Amino acid sequence: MLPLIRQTIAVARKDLRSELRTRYALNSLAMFVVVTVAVIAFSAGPERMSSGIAAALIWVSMFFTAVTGLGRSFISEEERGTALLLRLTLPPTPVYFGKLLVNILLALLSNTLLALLFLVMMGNVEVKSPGAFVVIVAVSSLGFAGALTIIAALIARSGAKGALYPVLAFPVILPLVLLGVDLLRRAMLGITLGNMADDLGLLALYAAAVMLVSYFLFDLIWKE
Amino acid sequence: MLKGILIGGGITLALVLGFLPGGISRAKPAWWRWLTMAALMATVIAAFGLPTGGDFPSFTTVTMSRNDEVPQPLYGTIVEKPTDGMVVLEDSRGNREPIDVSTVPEKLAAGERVILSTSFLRGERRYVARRLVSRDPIATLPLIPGLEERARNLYFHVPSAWLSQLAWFMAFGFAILYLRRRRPEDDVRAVAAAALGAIFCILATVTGAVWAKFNWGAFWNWDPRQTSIFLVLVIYGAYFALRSALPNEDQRARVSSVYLILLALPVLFFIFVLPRLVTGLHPGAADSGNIGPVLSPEEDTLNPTKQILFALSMFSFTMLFFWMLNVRIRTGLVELRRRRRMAGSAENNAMHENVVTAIGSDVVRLP
Repeated sequence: MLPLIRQTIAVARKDLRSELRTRYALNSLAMFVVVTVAVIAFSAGPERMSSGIAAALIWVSMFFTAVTGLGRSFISEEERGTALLLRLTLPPTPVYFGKLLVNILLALLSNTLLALLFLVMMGNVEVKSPGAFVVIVAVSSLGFAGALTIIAALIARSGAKGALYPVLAFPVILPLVLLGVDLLRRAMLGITLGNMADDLGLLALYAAAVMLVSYFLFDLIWKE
Repeated sequence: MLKGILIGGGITLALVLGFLPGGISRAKPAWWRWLTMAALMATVIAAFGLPTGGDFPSFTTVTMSRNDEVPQPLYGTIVEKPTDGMVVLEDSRGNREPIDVSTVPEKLAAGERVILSTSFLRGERRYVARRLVSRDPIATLPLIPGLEERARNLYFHVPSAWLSQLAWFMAFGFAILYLRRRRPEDDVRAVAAAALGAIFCILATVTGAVWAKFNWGAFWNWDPRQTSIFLVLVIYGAYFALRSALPNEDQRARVSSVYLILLALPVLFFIFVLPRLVTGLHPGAADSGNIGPVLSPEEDTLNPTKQILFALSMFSFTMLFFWMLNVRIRTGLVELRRRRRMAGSAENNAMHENVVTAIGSDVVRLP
């Protein structure tokens, strides 16, 4: 196996293991998802939701879930003082991709949970093409993970992490939101995957571009 | 063709003049500042002062669309005076119509070029002049159906929007330069460009919102270009928020430069992809079928006076931008030098103290 891939997996495994020891991020993400969906369910009540509003609400919850949960990766390294060790033992690329891998996993988990809970709790929202729905949620999760990993790396050493995170993430995520909300709405209305391949491709392309640019930029912020 | 040369030339000339004499970080020569001042004055005076005057087709479109008899400006040459209270006006396209001027107190002679504020009486199907707006005007602005006098905002709104984008691209360029050369001067330049970009972005948003209120009915419609200017505003806000959160100077420059480069992705998406993807109100949207009167290759989409004035306004506001940028960069560099000197003297002081405590302050006094 290539050393790069081996190192990347090692970083991801280290993160996952330390995460499973405390389950801090997992628990807070899961609880955040449950609370968010419950708040929406209670405030919307038995109201009939149009697919546009349902898609928008799912996206708002996904955005805030991601912003709350995905920033941990680099910030926890700084807080525990382990960033220097990581910097000494590995080149920047595997560190970035390892963290990205963990974030993709977390984003996929939390967004799937969120979408499932949302559809279960809002009995009157129906998804007419479930296959497309799943693909869109998955691709959006990739985009979220890509954007939020590099933002987390940027603000890991700044003073006001919590308040700054959504502010910095918003411009990078906004294209995803604009494309994603519309795609989700169309999936709920029953348009098949083949008929929205253009916009879905654009969404995937944007996610890939963010990851690529992040990979080039990561060296510059990770090295001292 | 002429339009492209005029507007493109105006912007290019301003860019060349902005970068070349003295560079962007040193004081500009006096002639440069006088030129900018004169161009700006000319733009403002012309944009507010030139009278609007339409030809018969645009006059008819405006009165038809308004569906009332509110007078609109008509521009033409008086070719005939059949009776005392009547003139025959010939517009720039050669259309001739008789106009009742009995209510206009001024004396009008044949051969004069005039702008008459005129009503078209529907019942009697005749033109009645209400007021003489201008006699032999130096130049006139066209009467644009749907915009009318509000078209003057073009000379302020479009340059502001253009400068907010130009400033962003310059900040982006300086961020790349900083990351390659690691000189704090480049970071100072990036900050100066971003700060000006934020100012022009606010100006473009405000002028645009007021224009939208009176043209489209609401201050904000989430038209794709409004979305993108909103994004640019948020970007400037986020950039300065990030800077203020990083205490270490070197780190602040590095991290904020990286953030600026990362933001190239959404900016490119919002400038080039979104406005053409989604239907909107601005010219050049997906459903409007053309790229707008300014960019369209067709000649007659902009009237010649308007072309010249538009090119002049782009030129002079771009010059103003470079002037402001120049001042900001120079103050930034002075501050940088002062900070360095202070850091240097602080180091010296610390060294003195160490030496003094090491030797014993009552034995040796260092200057």
